[in-house]
Amino acid sequence: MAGPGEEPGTEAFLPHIRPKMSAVVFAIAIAIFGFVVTAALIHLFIRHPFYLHADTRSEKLVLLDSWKGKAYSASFGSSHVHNGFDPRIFDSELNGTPLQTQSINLAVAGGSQVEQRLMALEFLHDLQPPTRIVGAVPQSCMVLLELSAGANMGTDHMVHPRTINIYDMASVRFIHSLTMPSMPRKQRWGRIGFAFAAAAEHYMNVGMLSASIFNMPIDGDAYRDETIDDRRGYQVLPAETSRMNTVFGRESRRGLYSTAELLPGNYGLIDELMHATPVTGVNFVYLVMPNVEDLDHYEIYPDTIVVDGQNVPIIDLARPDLNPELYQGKYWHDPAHLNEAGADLIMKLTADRLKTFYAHHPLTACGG
Amino acid sequence: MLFVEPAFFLFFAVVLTTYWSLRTNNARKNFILCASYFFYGSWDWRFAVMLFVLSTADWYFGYKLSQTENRRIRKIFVTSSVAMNLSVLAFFKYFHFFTSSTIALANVWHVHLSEPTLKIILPVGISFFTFQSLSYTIDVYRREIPAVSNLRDYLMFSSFFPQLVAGPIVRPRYFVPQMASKRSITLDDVKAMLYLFLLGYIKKSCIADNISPYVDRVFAHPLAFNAFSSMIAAWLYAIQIFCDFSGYSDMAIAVAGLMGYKLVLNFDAPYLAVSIQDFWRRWHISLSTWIRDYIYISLGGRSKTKRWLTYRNLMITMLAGGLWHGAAWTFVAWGGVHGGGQVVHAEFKRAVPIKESQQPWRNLLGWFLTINFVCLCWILFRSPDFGTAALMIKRYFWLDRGGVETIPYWLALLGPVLLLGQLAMRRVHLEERAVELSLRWYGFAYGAVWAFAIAMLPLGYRPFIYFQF
Repeated sequence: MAGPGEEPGTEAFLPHIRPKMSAVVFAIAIAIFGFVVTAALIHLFIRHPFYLHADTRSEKLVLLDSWKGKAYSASFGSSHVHNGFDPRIFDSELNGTPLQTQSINLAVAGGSQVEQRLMALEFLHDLQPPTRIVGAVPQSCMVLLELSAGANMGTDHMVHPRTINIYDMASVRFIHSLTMPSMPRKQRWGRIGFAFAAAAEHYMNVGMLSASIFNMPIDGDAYRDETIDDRRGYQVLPAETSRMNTVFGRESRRGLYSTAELLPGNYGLIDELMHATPVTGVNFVYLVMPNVEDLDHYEIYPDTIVVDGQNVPIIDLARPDLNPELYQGKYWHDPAHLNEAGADLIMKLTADRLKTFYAHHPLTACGG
Repeated sequence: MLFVEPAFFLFFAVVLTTYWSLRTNNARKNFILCASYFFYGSWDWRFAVMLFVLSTADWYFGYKLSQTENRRIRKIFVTSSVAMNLSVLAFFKYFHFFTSSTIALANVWHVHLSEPTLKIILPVGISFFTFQSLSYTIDVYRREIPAVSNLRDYLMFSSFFPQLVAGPIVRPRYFVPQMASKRSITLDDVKAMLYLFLLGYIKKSCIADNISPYVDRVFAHPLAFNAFSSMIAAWLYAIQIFCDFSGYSDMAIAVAGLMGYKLVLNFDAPYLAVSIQDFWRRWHISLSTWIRDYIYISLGGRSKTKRWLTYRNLMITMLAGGLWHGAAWTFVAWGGVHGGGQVVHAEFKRAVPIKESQQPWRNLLGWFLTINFVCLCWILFRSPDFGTAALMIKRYFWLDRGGVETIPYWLALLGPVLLLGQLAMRRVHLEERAVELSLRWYGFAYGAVWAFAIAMLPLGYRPFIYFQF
């Protein structure tokens, strides 16, 4: 290009070196090679990407850390569980029964199957059975997973640390197991496509090095909100009774239903979690969380599935035919989330169903 | 569409491929014009319409100026152009500032006025393109350049997308001649421009955007943080604003350069300046030279007889420069303090002339005082009000120990590290060395640095600070 003293538009702007097209293509290929090699090296240096700062998940990981050795059960999933599972009520309902436990809520708003898989693996990794703790009373260990959580994170989280940090090849394989040839093509390829795109970002380390260096603090207000009054990760949503009464009033009540089809990944997840912990006697439970749309259409799940010889109950709370009392404005914050009274009610329902289930199925003591 | 967004990468790939595949200069200029309006319209199509109307009017005024020798008519045309551009700028950028200031003043006299409820959207980069248009009609009026005869050429000059929204402010005398011939670039130019783009990307995305959360936290809750954290936040803001703005300028120069157009240098290591005057020769060069040529010189510039006249002109120029940056009194004060700093420095130089033997240590002392003065001024620039600024300045001097919250103390090292890095890059002529690399080594290094840059992304695109100006 012309120097400062040269008149623009003269010979100085004319090319004097014309590279061959093959050389340019070669340079681009080399640039890609340099990128891949460097990205691979950086990836090796980033340890535990799951623990890199990632919005609301980070607060839950701090909570998990603070409850190591003290919590024997945990719930996982999305905002439906985050705002619907109150460990205080759950524990008090099971108190004095063989199922009694100390639980925490590790569900994350906007969460997915991929995220709950990793959260559950982390929980099980740190789980210490009560029998190994001197003076502790026998407790049951439970992992409560949200069966109805979305497979992937939402598309608004496509370029987000919550997605990028966790979509490794194991996550991609897991997502693949959450698809079936019988699925609509768009849904199936959408799931797989999202997983591959997120994995590409993961292996390109998008934002992961900066997150390692500029480690952002957790959101103190959010953490306080989830931990005051011994909430243990449960976030209370206020009642919106009048607004929700209007919603219930205008909601169509077609009452359609269909039989839910479980995916290989639903079985595979339990199987993976069972083998991920040395602690014996961990009970796995699937939860199906309610939604106002259930009044229009709901799915019927089997009561139980069997994985590796263990019975896994499916606590289906999204059944207007079985739980009509739940579908009232006073229990809801918005059409997808329960308020405190709603959480109270479903905790009681869940505890009752679990007591009934384990009255007819063997229950082993945790660590026994 | 920001330069750091994937959408821009896609847009520019299409533009660049199409541009170089076109054979004639006219076709290329037509295409750039369309691309520029598409780029600007991607924010809001109404902005593009406004830009078109303003540009067409300025082209008409310029054309008419070239058609007549009558001094009175020429004055009418240039005044019309200046009035039109300044009115648009005043309305969109300063309307709320002027009305709220008037109301506040009236309140002092116990006259209670209410602010009109008028929602005004600030068109992106309005300060840049109005100043660019002003320089055109004034230069034509001063007979420093000929009028652009072709409307298409003028529209392309006024809307050239690489520098449209945040500069550098391009002078027609520099840019318009480049449009006369078909652009070509050499392989070395391509290497240099790709290097510059990546450098700008790193400055903006990997440095400025990563430190902005710390700065935002401290300036949002200044009472909560201790004095050392407040001081670090002031330093970090100095880094942030430099990396943000010079990063944008680097990318703008690179994007234009990849199409064969040369834009002016906008930053020249300003934090290595040894005086305030030196700082303004290195910071936002296209704006400092603009206000020098069109405000300072118009006011009379340096007076050979009366020093106070020179200082008056300097102060007016700097206050106007401050107001250009934003519609708030803190910006005006920022400009005023910089003007005052230059006046004090000029008087000091008169009182204590530099001896040859004193040059090295006076330069060092000058650098130390300048960088701290500039950081203190940035506090004024960044603060939402004078109260916050006063508190932060007290903390800077440890006159107030402050609250208990902290930001990581290692961030205090970031400034010295980056400054030493910049010095080293200049010392080893890194850009020239990169260009001298063989194509294969250049390609490998380029890919490797991109891998680092992407790993350092902060996740969450933040608009360039200077877009708001």
